[in-house]
Amino acid sequence: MKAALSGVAILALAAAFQSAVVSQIHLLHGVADVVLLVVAAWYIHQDAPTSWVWAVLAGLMVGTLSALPWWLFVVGYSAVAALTHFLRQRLWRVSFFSFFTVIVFGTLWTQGLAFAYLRWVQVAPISFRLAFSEVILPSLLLNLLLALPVYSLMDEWAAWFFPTQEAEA
Amino acid sequence: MKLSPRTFRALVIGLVVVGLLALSLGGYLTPLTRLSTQPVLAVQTWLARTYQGVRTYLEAPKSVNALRAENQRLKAEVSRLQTEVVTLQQQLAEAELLSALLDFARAHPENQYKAAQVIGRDPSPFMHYIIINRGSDDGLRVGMPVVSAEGLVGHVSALLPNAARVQLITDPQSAVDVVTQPSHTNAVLVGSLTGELSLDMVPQQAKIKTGDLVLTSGLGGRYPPNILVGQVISVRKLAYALFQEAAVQPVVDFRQLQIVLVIVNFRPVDITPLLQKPEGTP
Repeated sequence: MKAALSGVAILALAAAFQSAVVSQIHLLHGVADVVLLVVAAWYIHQDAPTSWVWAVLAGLMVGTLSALPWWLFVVGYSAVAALTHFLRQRLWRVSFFSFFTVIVFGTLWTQGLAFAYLRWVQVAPISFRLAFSEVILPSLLLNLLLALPVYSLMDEWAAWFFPTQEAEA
Repeated sequence: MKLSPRTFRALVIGLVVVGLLALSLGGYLTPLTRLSTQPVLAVQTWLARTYQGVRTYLEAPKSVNALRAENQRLKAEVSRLQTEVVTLQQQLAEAELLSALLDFARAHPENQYKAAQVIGRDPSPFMHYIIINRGSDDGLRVGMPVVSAEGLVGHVSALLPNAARVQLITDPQSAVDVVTQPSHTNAVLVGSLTGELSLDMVPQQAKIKTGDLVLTSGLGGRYPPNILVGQVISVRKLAYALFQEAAVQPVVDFRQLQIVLVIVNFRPVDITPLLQKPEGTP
C-alpha cells in the first residue's frame, strides 16, 4: 500500500515537473520526457512491481495536461513498459545499457506516435524532416542526458520500497 | 640672633626644596626627570604588556566562541537579507509586469479581463499550449481570447474548474484572421512546429511590405479586432504562386510568458455550422 501510494505520488510529481519545468527547457524545439524516463526506470528495476496499471496511470496523467489525446500517451508508455518487461524476461540481469535502449526506442515510439497523429489524423502542416531534426532527435538527446539521474533516483526509490532479499538478510 | 641647628637644617631643606621647585618649573630638571623615569616606565610597560598577554591568552577561548557565534549570526542575517532582496526583485518584476498589463487594459477599455498565471506548458514538444491557473470557476469559457501586455497570445481551448489550457497562436494548428497596417490587407496568420508565424492567403496584388504591423481583423469571430500580433519581417512573392507569403515576428515572447489576461466579455462566434457541407453534395 505504501509503495502504491508512493508510486502514484512519484508519477504525479513527474507529470507536474514535466509540465512546469522540463517543458520550458528546449534543445532546438525538442524537450525531454521525464515521465517516460520514470516509467522506463520503474519497469527496468528488477524488484519493482510491473503491473501495466502504472504505465496507464502515467499516460492518463500526462494526457490530462496535454492537448494531444490521452490515449496516445497511454499507448506510448504501455509500449515502453512492454518493451522493458520483454527485456527483463529475456536478459538474466538488466543493465544501464538496457535502460538506454528502452529510452531510445521509447522516445522514437512516443514522439513518432504524436507526429503520426498530428500529420495524418489532424492533418497539421508538419513535415517529417523538420519534425525529426528539430523535435524528435533533440528530445532523444535530452532524454539520454537525463537518463542517468532519473535512473539513479528511481533505483534509490526502488531500493527503499522494494528491498532485495539479500539486502533484507 | 642665633639659629638653633634644628631650625637651620629646616631652613636649608626648605631652600633646597624651593630651589628644586624653581628649577623644575623653569624646565631645568627635565633631562634629569627623563633619565630617572625612563627605567621605571620601561619596567611598567613590560609589566603591562605581559599582563595584557596573559589576560588575552586566558580569555582567548571565550572570545573565539563569541566570534564564532557572532559570525554565525551575521551569516544568518546576510542570508535573510539576500532572500529578502531576491523576493523584492521578484515583486518588482511582477509589479512591472502587472503595470504593463494594466496599461494594456487601459488602452482597451471595452474589454473585461481576468489575469491568470502561466503554471505549465504542454508536455509534448509538438503542441504549443500553455496551462493557466484560472478555469471555469473563474468565469472562463472555451474560445475566450488570451492576451499579454504586448499583444495576442491565443485562446482558451480546454477548461478545468481551476485551470485552463490555452492554444498559442504559434501552434501548428492555429489560424488567426489578421489585417496588416497600413496596407489594409486581410490574411490568415498560421503557426508552425518551430513557433514561427507566417501570413497565408495574401493576394498577389496586395501591397504588403516589411515593417507592416499585423493586427487581428475580427473576421471569423474568434478574436476581437485590433489586437496587435506582430510585424512583417519578410515578404516572398513568386510570380507563379496564387498567394504571397510573409514571415511575421510576434510581439509576444512566448517562452517568457508569466502572466496573461483572458478577455472574459468576448464570446467567440462558432461558424462551424456554416462551413459544413449540405447533405447530398459531393
